[in-house]
Amino acid sequence: MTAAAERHLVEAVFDRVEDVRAVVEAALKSGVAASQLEVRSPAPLEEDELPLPKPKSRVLLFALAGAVLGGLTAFGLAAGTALAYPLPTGGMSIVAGPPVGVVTYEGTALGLILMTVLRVLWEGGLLPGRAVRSGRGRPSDLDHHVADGRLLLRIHGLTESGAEEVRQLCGPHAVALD
Amino acid sequence: MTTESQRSAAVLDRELLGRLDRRRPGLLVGALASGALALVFFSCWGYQIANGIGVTGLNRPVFWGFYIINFVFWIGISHAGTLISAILRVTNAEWRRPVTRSAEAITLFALAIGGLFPLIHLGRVAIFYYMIPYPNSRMLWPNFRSPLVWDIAAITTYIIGSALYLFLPLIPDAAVMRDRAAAGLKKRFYAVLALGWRGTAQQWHSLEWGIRILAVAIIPVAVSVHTIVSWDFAMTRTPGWKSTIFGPYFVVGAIFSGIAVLMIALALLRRGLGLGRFLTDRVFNNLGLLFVTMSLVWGYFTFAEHLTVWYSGDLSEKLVHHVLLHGDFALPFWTMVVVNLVIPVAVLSFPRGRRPLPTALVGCGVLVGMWLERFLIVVPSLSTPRLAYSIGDYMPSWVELGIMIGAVGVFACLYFTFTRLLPIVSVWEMREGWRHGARGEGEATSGAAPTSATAAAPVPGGGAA
Repeated sequence: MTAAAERHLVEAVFDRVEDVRAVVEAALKSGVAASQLEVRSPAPLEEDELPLPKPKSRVLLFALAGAVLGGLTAFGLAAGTALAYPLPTGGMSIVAGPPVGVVTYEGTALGLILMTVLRVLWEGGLLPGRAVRSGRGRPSDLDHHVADGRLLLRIHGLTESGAEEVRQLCGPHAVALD
Repeated sequence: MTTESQRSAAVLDRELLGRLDRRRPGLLVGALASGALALVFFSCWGYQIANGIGVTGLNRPVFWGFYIINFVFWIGISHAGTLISAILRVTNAEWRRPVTRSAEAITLFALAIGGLFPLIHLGRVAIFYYMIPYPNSRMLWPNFRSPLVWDIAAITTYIIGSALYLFLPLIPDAAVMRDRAAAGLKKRFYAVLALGWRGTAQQWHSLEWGIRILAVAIIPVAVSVHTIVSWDFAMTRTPGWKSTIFGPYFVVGAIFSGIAVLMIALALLRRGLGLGRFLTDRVFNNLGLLFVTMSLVWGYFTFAEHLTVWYSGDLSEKLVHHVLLHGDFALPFWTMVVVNLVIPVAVLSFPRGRRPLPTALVGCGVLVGMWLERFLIVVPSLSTPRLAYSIGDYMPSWVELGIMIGAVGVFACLYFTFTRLLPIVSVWEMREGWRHGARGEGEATSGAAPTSATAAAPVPGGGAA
């Protein structure tokens, strides 16, 4: 048996977030790492509802980077056009402020919006071909429970004995073992 | 989740998701009628493409007619959704939850139709690509000094932003639909939309960040779009158009007409799809207050615009002003004032007037009024002679009328299809709102938990169903 084959996954379905919390706390105490725990919910949970580390996001950073990139591109397009195709301006500046400003403004917004969405999809593992680490985000036969408003707790990478222990912690909520 | 939230979820399932599986004869009739109108739209447009722009009533000196009027009108309507939804999200108004998606869908579809009108106005649609900056041997390149090119930049940004702003919060609901659907085409369709969404903490966290950023970003974009549309007029020296307040005036008018469409759509959804539990009287009351506020702001801008023109004594400006207030266009002008200002204030100032039916009826009047406003901006300025030989009138042809009426059908068709395929009220946001209420964080649902599985479960938006 390979090392990968020794790893087990326990899944449990809950109606109440309080029950998930109790199981998560017990699992953490028994030595399960927080990175092995995954909770799927039908709506976002508040930070204080589960004793798990808060997920990190760099969406804002990428959004700002997108804004800068979009703004520079639009500025380059508008100003570059004026320089490459100079129109008779009657002595006024070739690169006019208002048109370049308007196009740069829209380009900045477009860059920000596109980069925000791309980053959200990237972080959520929603882009095609994006590898989902350690089994997280993979489809489960129990996903329909989440669609029905329940919570799905998945504990990855357990040994045989660990899986048995976690199954006991979950009690009647544990509905699948592999 | 608590057991109460389970009950709430059952209500959501039954009334929102279960609705998608039910056949409604009214919806079918509406879809057929709008489909027929859509056919009129494409037939008339096809006829114009085949026979040339000469089939319209456009001629010297009125080169901008129904198409430009409708372009401004539909772009204005598009401000209903994304802007209102974004403002409500940014201010964290709990009652927004049942409203946002229907509003955002209005934006996307209205914008798509509004964006078609400049293409229709071109006559030769195929030459649209002249506006796209790409290296070519004929040295054709867009002139970025023209506000018409700014239009393209602004509308492209807004339509992409609005589509993504609608799509992003839709992903979790598409996943719900995917997981509920039986194997087959439907499941595959929802699976494509859901992009592999599973509802993990990371996904929710990133999504919330994304929605928050988009909500903030889309507000200045929406404002810029209608400001730039107003500059198509205000950057010229045409009497009646050269105005410094045209930017904010157009934005206010856009939001005003957008709310009008939203009120009509919500009233129809509430009645047609039985969404009374979600689209409550409180939602209509709050939107009604916003509606009457915008009516007053619009009235103030209109007054300010006309007072300064009248007081200036500028002859060419006063000529246009005269035909508007006392001449050939006096009837549409004063009709506009009545339906945009007098009736909304008279009806919506009272709580009984802020119910679904009155607000929808006022909304219909405002739509007529706002269309007239755009008509009165475009046509009188061009048809009022400034030079002795430059005399002309404008009468739309049947092709223009067909395209205008048909556009309503295209919009309704798209909206019907959307409501048929996807939850028009955001399921996950309703669940979240209910949970906030249950945790005592929300304003709408706190202290109003259901007492039994069959009890009327409170929903964000509150109030009597």
